Amino acid sequence: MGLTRSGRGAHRRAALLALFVLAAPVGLAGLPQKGANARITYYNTLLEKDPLHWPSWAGLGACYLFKAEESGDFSWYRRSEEALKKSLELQRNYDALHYLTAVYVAQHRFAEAIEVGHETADTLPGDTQSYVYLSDAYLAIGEYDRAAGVISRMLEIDKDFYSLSHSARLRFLLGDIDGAIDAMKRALTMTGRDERSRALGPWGFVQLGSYAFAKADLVAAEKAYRQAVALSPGYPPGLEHLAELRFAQGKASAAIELYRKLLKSRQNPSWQAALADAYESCGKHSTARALRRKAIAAYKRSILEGRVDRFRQLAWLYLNHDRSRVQALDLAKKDLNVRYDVYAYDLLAWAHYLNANDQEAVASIEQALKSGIRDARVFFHAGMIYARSGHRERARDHLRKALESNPYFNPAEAAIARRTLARLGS
Amino acid sequence: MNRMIVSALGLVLMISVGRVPAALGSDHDDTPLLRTLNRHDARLTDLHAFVTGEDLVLSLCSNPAIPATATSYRFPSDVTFDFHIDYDSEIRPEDPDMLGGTIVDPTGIREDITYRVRFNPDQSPTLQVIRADGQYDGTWLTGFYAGLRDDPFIRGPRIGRNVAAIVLRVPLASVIKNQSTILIWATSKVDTLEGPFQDLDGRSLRSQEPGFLEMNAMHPSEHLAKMGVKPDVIIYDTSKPVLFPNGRAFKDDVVDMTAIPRIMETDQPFPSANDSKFLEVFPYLAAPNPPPQ
Repeated sequence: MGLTRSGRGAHRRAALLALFVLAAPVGLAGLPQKGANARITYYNTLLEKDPLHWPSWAGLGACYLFKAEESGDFSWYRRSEEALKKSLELQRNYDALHYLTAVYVAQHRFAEAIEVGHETADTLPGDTQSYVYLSDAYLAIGEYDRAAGVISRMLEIDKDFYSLSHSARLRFLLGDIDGAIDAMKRALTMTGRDERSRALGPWGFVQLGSYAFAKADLVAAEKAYRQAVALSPGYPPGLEHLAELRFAQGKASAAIELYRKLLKSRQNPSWQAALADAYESCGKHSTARALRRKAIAAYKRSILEGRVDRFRQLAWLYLNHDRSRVQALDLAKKDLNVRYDVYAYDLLAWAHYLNANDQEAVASIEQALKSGIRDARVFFHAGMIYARSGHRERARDHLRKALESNPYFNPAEAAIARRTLARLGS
Repeated sequence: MNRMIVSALGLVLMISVGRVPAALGSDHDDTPLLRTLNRHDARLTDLHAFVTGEDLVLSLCSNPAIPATATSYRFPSDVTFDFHIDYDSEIRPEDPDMLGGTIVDPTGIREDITYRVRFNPDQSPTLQVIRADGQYDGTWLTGFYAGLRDDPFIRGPRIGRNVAAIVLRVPLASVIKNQSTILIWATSKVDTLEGPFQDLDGRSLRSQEPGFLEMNAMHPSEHLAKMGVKPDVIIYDTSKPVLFPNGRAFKDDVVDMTAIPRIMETDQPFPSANDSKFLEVFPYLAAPNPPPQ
């Protein structure tokens, strides 16, 4: 089946970015007028005077964390981890624990993130920020009950940006999109309360936009993405989501322009793959193929370097372009070993489906649907899987849900959904 | 103004005494600047002051964010911890606000004596006494302790938690001039941050209320003029028994005594005694809580 990639679901990418963007400004907010490099110099100067100055090692670790997010270069995470562990060796302390949790989450080392995250939360239990990365870790691996427990504690402490934005994300993953939008809007009213949450405003608007997109409210989605970019000009997640929106609207040229702008700032295989889809829709097949090859090569390189988060991305790239199905299934299984959230099961289900393992596909998609998520693409996968495995009623139901919840989720897949529905009859 | 500075390097004295009167206040949740800068190590949590025998004991606790797994404490080498005493401000006994008395001229509060504590990278302390009167009798310090201790504050979230404590014992006679009542406060200053200090701990409690956070970076003599509130200092008539608000005793349940609704409502459970037993001897603070198993 020759599905094009486009529109993997902006909300999915936004959810992942949350981990990184949340990590970014927090450590740096204290020195807002200085860039990360200036801060690194500052901490190194302190460490020259006192190599055992553990607050500086923690500060350095936070700066390296920011560099990782800013540059997309994962080697900064390793440097961050080293600095934070050095800080902890010298003195067990809150900040190093806090940022180490973020580093582990970013590296998808969730078991370690949860262990350190709990210690962070126990250290300053009255501060909602203490729970941020712990809840991210639980959400990332699909432990929604545990995530709900952590987020509920955050809300008890304070209904601030951190607790409300995490509550929004949980609601979204559990299928309550309107609740997610409401919580995210409330979260955004709290960004004025402190410098750290103010710095997260652009991320918050991208989240809000992605929730609106999930319910096909393209006007609200665009408004939110534009607000993100207005708050932080050139903000990559804002531009990326705008590009995705443009593509969903059938404005491939506008999407191409935005993706190219993003790729000028740094190479990112995810953007390359998305740009390839946009080119392909304009008939520029050879350009698309070349970009896709680059993206695949980049994904493979980073997997060799130990980036387990790339399993999922490469698997989707294969599956969306009907190639290397067996490898894609293998990657999907590896992804499930790293995190067992809704999207891991969705990926595995689709990989099984394309490998004609219908029984396994049904079992996996039912796992994905269990949380109650309302994601058009998951519904689409479910519909297609049920259709081929003979569950006609369920197939119709899920394909309808896909088209009703968000007909823009993916132009090519939406067309397939319509055709399949017609074939299945009413 | 003549100032005599006496430094004592590596001075660690542990001298036992008898009775354990003590003092308590709390300042755990203020200084948003230091929180934002990830400098919990410079955040002050409690200042206690009480007389025992012939000595005045001053205890300053810091860093409310020490993980329970910490078994020791390394003080940062770029923070100055100061204990300040004003021994000649005129104090009247009227005490309508439960502050320990009335300072006749709040704008006139000055540091007559400052005990300054810093730590070298090897953790040896540098201790100084800075006196406005230039008088120095050579025995200004009879006890010094620095390290991890049980947090003496009586409230739910701090049960079983440790703080970084600095305890000084000085001859009472060396801090008394013409009157028995003194004013006491403490400050912390990170070398590279602007301003004379980043946190101030006096009577506390009030300075962590949302409307009063600025008090933490403001000299007590400015509190009335700039904030419209009475200065955040301990008022202590050393001729009378220590009992909040006259000085601060470890065993005084200050939150109950002041009954601040916000704290009373949010910091459950609320026992009326510390979770760990205070020592009968210097440094009086209870031993640090062991890491959880």
